[in-house]
Amino acid sequence: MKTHVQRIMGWLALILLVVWVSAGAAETTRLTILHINDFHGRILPDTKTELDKPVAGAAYLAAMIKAERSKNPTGTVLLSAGDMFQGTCESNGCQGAPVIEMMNELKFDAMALGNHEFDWGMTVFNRMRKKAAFPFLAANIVNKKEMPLPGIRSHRIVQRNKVKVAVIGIATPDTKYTTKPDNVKDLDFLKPELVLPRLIKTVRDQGASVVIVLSHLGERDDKLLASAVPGIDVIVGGHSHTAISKPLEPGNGTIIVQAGYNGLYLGVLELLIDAQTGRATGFTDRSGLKRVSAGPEDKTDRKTALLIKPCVDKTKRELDKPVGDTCVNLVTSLKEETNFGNLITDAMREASGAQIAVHNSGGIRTKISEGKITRRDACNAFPYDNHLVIMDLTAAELKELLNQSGKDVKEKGIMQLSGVKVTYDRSKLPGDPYVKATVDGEDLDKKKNKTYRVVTNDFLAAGGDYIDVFRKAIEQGRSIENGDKLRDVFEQYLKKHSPVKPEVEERIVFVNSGK
Amino acid sequence: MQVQHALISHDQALYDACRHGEMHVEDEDGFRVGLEGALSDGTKLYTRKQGRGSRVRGPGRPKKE
Repeated sequence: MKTHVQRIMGWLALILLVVWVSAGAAETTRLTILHINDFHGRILPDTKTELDKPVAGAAYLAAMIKAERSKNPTGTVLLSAGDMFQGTCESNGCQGAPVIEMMNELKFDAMALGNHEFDWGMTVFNRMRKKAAFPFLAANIVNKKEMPLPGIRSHRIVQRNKVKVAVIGIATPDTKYTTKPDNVKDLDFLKPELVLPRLIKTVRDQGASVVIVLSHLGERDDKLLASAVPGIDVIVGGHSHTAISKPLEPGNGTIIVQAGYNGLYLGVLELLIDAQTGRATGFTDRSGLKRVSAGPEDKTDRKTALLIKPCVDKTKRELDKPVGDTCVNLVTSLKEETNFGNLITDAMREASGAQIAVHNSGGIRTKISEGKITRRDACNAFPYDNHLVIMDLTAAELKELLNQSGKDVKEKGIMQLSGVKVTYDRSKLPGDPYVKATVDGEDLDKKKNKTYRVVTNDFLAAGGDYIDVFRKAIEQGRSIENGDKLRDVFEQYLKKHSPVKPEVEERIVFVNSGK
Repeated sequence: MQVQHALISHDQALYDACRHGEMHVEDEDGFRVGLEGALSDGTKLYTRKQGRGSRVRGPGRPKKE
């Protein structure tokens, strides 16, 4: 009898436990935050990865986003942390239109402004903004009258599963020098920690129980922000291209996530929300990154594929369009001055207004035959997304630069030059081969106190090909100016000057050769 | 300044290896970063052989351009 009573009591206890757990579970709801960043116009899959199959691409990403949203259809927000449009021939050729169309189709809730959103100037920027069915957010960008930009909002509040979620956009103050300076000359980028506390109070007062900062600051600055500004539940980041595979919790109760770059990943953060207070209490183990695989067995979203197709087709046609003509074969060489080297360095000087241009021979990847030059030829010759870097060098630094270039004749190759003529003594190699140089006919060695405005590319500026003159000057605090993409500079020059007929004209001379 | 610039400054061979997919770059938390990722002052980077064990070399602390 006693055993029977004990058994009944045991069952009752179990039932009470189940009822209690169920009641507890009912008090928690889920908020799914889907996020991408630094998509950089990657609307087609990337087939050149170290992985065994293609990754990324708008149609594959879209299929994944729709599948993830279907798991929590009333409790999902979809966000972008910026730098969405610039970066591939397809997106660049249509000035970001296919990416906007993809984002509209997927019903993005908001996007932070990345530095590259300004790459094509304010006219194109405003055109993209008007096409977008979602708001561009930036709480820390103002014009010279300290007013927000027209059409740009500081934040947006959305409601999901009865929870009010505030999304605040933050742009990087680095934008001033990581896009074309002219494009943002009328804008000021305020420090995020100056604008966020007031704004967080405002959105909390408006009933938001979850505050998301959609940031284009980069992971390291996101961590600093989380420590400096209380009251942020989640920072959805971008800019540093970091694949944060497990959400970071640096303190202050803030969670930081970021989803790599180029659409390689979809970020999924599943927040647990206390249904009574609406406050985030943690996240589930489903949170992290999902690789966007683009193999034949992976799902694609047909509607998105159709949306981007016109632009993809247009780009294919564009690549075959002529952008100029050359009367001679454009030749490349690592060991000597070439007419192609002279052409590109002349183009760099013209585009930048610099006195001297320097470009690594290895950065010109293919020759171009006499006749029409197509955009495909330009892409093949300059496949890397290098951009111009302009800075001042002293006469001594310029001399050292030329000397290092001459030494490189047996290794990485010499630099191609415009605006300066140099003579080397090959018999002095592997020592210092520099003999003399002239700029505008003036002997460089007699102008020791003179400073020259020099344009190069970001590869050489960083110390590529073991040329350390630019790098050292930058490390010493020399100011630099970032210019246009090299490929664009080449095309612009061809459009203006075709047919071109560059020649080798003794800008780089080796004496005592073969001895 | 980008990750690739820090690599080139430190050792171009590392940059070449990362570009060709033989190595990849991680930050101080062990997260992968892309070559065109932006850097902040004081960021620490590490390179790791693709599919291999521990970090091998670090290109140091880049300075802001």
